Amino acid sequence: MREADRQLAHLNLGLFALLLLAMAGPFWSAVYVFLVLIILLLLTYYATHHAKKSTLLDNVVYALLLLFERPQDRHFEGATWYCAGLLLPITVLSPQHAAAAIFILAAGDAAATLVGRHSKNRLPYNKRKTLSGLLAFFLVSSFSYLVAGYQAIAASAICALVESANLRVDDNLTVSVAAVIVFSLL
Amino acid sequence: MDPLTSFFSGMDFPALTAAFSLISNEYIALLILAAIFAATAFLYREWDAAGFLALVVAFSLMISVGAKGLLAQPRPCEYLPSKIPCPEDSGLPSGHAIVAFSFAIALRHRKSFPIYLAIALLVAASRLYLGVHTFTQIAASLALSFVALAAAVLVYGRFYERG
Repeated sequence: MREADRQLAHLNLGLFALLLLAMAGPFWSAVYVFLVLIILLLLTYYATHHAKKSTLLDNVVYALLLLFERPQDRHFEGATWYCAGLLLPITVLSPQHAAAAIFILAAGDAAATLVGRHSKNRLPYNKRKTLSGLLAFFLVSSFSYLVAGYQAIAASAICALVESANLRVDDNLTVSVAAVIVFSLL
Repeated sequence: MDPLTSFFSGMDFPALTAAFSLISNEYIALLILAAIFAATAFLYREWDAAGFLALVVAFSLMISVGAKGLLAQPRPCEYLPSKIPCPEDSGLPSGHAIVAFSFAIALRHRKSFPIYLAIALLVAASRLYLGVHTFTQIAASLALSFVALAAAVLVYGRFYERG
């Protein structure tokens, strides 16, 4: 249940960026994600270097930590890489392609995690991921076709493969980089 | 032009212009950053970060050069006045900002992080103030600095585990 909450929190970050992109344009979406990223970096520092006491700020920080992160991960690491992954397409791609890339990252990754957790059909090249998760990523993120056409289908397929690989770098960034490269080349 | 870029580039303080023009020279900027690192490494005993940081800076410079060539986005000074001569290379990303952000993000778990974050934000603001980059180009630099960090982590994984 906590993992579902974590994915929902990440999804909401991404969907709000998408909403701002659609309603107000790439500039305001970039401002939002930029500010969130800076705040996350500061929260990372605070959570790392301050002993937990009972101040209001400590309670807020640790509540956010519980919401955004897995217990075994470093402080706000996942959310930070996720926001970096959101910021890249917003600032580099056209608004249409950026919207598709954000949708692929936000919805595809969430679907892969939520479906993959309950599956046992492990991938041969990465035992931590499942075929069901990979397919869920591709199927859900393919809806970005409605925004960016057939390029989005290709991007969804490549991003699904990248997300399933064990690259030793947070997949929120690798998926985003893959989406940016695909949309830039096609 | 977006409101943030207009706000910063619309300001005009001679002392700020002189200071920001000085760090506009890449070599001087890198020297200043290296000097600040030497001071904070001495204060906080963070000398072990030196090798990894050199790798991060190298990757951020490579990504900056590559992205400028591929994306070829114009600078705002190509169509609006700026406080320094408009650099000839393209505007996305900001080389100064990507190096400064990469440095800060690489040290985000260290005690010196707030100093480098403040430096990175000041460098970013200076590029907006001088009129040589837009806010979106600065934000892209922040995003690409994570790519530089990821590349450095892949090469220098041990530091990341310990960092």
